[in-house]
Amino acid sequence: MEWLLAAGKPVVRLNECDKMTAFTIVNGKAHLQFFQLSTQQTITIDTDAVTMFWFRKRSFNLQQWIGELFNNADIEQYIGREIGVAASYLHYLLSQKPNLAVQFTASMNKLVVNQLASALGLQIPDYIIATRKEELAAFLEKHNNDCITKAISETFFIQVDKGFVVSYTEAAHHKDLAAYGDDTMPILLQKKVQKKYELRIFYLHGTCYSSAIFSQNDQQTQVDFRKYNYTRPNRTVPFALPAAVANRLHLLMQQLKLTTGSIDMLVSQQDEYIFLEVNPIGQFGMVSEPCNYFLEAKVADYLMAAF
Amino acid sequence: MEKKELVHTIKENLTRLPLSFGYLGAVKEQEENSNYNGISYKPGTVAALQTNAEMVGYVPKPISRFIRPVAAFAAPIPTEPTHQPTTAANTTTIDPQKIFTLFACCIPVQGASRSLICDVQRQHFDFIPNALYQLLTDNRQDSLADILEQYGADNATTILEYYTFLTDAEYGFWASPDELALFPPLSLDWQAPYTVTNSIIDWDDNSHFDIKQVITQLDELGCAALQLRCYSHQPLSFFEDVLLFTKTTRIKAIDLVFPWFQGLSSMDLVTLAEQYLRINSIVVHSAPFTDYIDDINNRLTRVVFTPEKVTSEHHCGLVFADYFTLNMSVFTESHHFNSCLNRKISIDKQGQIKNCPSMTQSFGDVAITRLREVLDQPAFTSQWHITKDAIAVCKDCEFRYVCTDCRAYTQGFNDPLGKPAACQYNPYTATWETAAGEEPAAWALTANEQNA
Repeated sequence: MEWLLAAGKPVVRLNECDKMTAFTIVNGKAHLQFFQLSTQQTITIDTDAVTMFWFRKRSFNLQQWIGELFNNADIEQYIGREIGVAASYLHYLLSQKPNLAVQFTASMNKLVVNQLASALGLQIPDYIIATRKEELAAFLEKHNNDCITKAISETFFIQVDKGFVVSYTEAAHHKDLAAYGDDTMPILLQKKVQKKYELRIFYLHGTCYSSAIFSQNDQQTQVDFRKYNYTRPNRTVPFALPAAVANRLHLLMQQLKLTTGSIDMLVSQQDEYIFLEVNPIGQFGMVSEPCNYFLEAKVADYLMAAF
Repeated sequence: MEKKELVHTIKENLTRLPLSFGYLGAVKEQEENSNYNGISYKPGTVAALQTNAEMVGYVPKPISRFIRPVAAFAAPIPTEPTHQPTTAANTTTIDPQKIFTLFACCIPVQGASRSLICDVQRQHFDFIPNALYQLLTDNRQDSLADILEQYGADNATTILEYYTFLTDAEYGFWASPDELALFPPLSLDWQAPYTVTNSIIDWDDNSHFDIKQVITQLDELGCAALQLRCYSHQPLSFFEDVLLFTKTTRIKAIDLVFPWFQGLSSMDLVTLAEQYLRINSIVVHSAPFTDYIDDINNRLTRVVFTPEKVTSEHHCGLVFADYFTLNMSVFTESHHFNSCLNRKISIDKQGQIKNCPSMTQSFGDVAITRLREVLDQPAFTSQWHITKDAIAVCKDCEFRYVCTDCRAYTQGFNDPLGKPAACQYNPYTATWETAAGEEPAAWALTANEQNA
């Protein structure tokens, strides 16, 4: 954002806390009005005047119209659908502009992405999703009781009174399954890869900016490096991704119709490159800062070139 | 929602939920026990810290082939390594075909008589002998076997000790010959999306320029950090007025410096800092007491009361170990630009536009001259490009990329490329010419100072 301002391009940043107070959609154009919390000012946006768009996460704040106003679930759901279609159209209008990411591609089915990656010759870890305990137990057996479990969709993240509660990727063992009945909720188990280091790659329009994270030396970060050790952060250094891997990632991103995304990979003890996932609206600060890549400037350049 | 309630629901339903939730419940239970309400906690952290502390005592000694005549390495040489090998890498034998590779964020800097390893990620440095510097630079592509052969059997123990020290401190790792090409060096590039990154505005009873008008201009230049420094009494309303005005600007960090006045308490200023989140620090000088409050707003914001008197711009130019800063931005910027003046523009108490209020040359009166016009003058911006590598003595100093510079007061009749006059360090003898003669042996910033 600062880089765009430095280039003399006016930018509006909308946070989720900036409540939409009015909108008009007429003849394929929209006029939006927000109350910006940080400046305590009302701002207006004409979609026609928008030259580029970057969707980072979440969506418009529609609390003005959505909420428990009627004490009736059916009516509230109906209102939700009404506003939902209008909001989705606003996203559609903005997605027609040069952009870095749009809401429509913001969430990916991880299982589909896995399959596409595998078809392109990227190695993926062996996994199972099952609802029968015996099948899950057999999978654990096959992999010497050395597996991990994680969310099939997105990480469970919820704000509570004091901070937040979040689910991480965790090691899974036989004894953990013991408490379950024969039939379970769908559970994902994945073979645990003995990793040398993790790769966090920011993909931008054909280029992979890669970093290697030495999370293996620290117990706290061994299974999930997002359990950051703030006092002794994991070593994160620039990484020269082999061209063969970068090319496959590029093909994958093209198939997914993504111009940008954060890609997670592992390098195993046997030097295998193992693909984990793509986050289309991932952060890039944690690649950019430790590697001194100035990705913020590159993202701004990309947006300005597109415009 | 109450956290307790949520965790309770999860725990009650553990076996009806996916397995991943089971762990969520367990982890949260741990957190409750440890009274920790933030991010995930595991007891392992504390152990890791202790290891780090044990290691600090170890000082790598010179190897015979390189021993320099003088006190090449000032610190005493321990007869026995004071640390215990801790990581797995050290307890197992190293494959002699492997190559020791520094993590890209750990950068050796050579000085006249000793070197530093600057860890820009963890914001810490350690002293190393120049012999080790050579090993890490000239020999960076050689395998352990090659190095041991090159340096001879009598140096083997010391060299292996070096590597134990380096791997224990996590300065590097053993890479296979194939891996070497995968780990490029860190780019030392420095960029900033601001025409001006920082500014000092001085103020006293006789100042009469329009501060808001200056701030508007600074905003247009993208100025990220502002210091407002007062030499005479101003009421809090004076600062509140300025702070309110900065709320819609691009200025992100504000430092206030002003003299104490009767009735001013620490709490008044904490309240001010809570109200105006752009405040980075408030330093009250000439105070009848000393106080230090940090971590305001759960950030690094701090309020300091000091009896020290700041009566004019001459209270500047100190170069001392306390002022060392080690982070990516300072380290890379110092390679290309002046570590004090780069992208700085200042207004002295008379409203004169200068590189720094302590300098003599004025580039115009702020009431008449626009800041942008001054930035077009090569005489103004040429100061930005004086790197430590060009300055006498500093260019031979191992601290040159972690130290702040001063061009206002220099040695040799204010030689433009002279060593800062107030610097008391001699890199040729590695000694501090201070009363105490002390130096930061195992120097590291505390967490609170790191991003200040």
